[in-house]
Amino acid sequence: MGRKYANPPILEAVCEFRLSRKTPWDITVPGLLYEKLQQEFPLREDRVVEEWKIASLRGRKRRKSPREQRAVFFTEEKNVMVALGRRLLAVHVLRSYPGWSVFKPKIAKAWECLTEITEIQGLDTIALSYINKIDLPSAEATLKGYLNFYPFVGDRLPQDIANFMVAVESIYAEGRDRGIIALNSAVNNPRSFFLQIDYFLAQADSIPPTIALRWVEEAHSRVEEIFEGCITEELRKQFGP
Amino acid sequence: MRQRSAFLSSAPLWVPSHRICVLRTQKASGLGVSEFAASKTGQENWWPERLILRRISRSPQTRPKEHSPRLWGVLPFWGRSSFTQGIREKLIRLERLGVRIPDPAEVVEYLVRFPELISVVDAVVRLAAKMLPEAQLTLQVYHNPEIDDQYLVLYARFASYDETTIERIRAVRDKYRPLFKNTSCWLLLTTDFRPPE
Repeated sequence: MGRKYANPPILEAVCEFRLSRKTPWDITVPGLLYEKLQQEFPLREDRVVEEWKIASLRGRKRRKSPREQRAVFFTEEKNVMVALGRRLLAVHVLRSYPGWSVFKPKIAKAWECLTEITEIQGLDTIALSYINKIDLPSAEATLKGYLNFYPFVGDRLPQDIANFMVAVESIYAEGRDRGIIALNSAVNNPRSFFLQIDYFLAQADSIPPTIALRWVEEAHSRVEEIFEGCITEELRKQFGP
Repeated sequence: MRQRSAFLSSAPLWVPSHRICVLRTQKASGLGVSEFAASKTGQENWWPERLILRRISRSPQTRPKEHSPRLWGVLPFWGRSSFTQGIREKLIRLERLGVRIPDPAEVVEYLVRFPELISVVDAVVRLAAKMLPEAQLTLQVYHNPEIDDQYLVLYARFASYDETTIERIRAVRDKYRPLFKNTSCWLLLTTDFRPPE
């Protein structure tokens, strides 16, 4: 991300659109979308996912986990996929990340095909998320030398850390968007860490569906800035020229 | 008993149903564990809830004997579609079945590279657990030291080995071979003749 690296640390990148409830949706949508994407995404699978949702009922929060069927369309190599749930479109790219110049057209294609099938009335959210796996060169290497985002543990606290997780949620675009940076250790492997960046539209219906792709482009710029801000020159060298 | 006392000393952190562990530290002895928890409340800050649901649900008595990793499976992007997170969740489920995964991040990375293996791994592990009930199963990525190659291995480790051990492992392999009919990769079930850890 940011600069184009020879060995980017990206495990997965996801662009997700959640459509408002006003958007008409029925069981024919996955089939119609598959028809349009079949050439690029010929492999098809159905998956059941469980999503945790928190609903407020008379002031009390209640958790529920409805199971949802998702249609997933893969490329031949199975490293790029489009997932379609009820009023949900997600485009995933797995390692090896081919770069934004490849990912962006896939997002655009999936989104434009969906807009041809159903009239999108609003957007609850859009999110662009990157999961990076960062491997330090040795177990002795300190996070401070490679990252500008890491847990600060005061000297009166235990310093022998087994696992950790830190996250920060920041405000962008005058509150319209949010960005989350999260870093957690890979268990039993003191050299590896997961750096996750999630940039999302925090206010439902704050942009019209017609400019969704422009928002995605902006989001990508913000994600690049965040990523470049998280890493030091020393780590940058590891990702190649 | 010493192990148990370590659980009890940190037990209060498992009990509350609305906390998120952000940091886990461990003394050099490996027995003293202190954890720091933080929680957020309010409508906007719902995402930590997901962590609790997954990670802080077991009582100290039902936890494995060793301090099993609890933070590696979390992903703070509550409600996001994530393929990687799906793999992590699958591995967590396998760990709950008793399968050891010494370096889960490496297995996640491998499965992201070879996504066609994901559904098969689950089936193979479950089959092996059923057909080799007394074996300790360990899933890891094997690095061939001679050539730049790596693949996924499921080790079956037994308290004692005899002449039927290899035959039984082969029988499992024969059973799961059809699952790989349409894939270009392979998961090797074998043993290294070590005792269970």
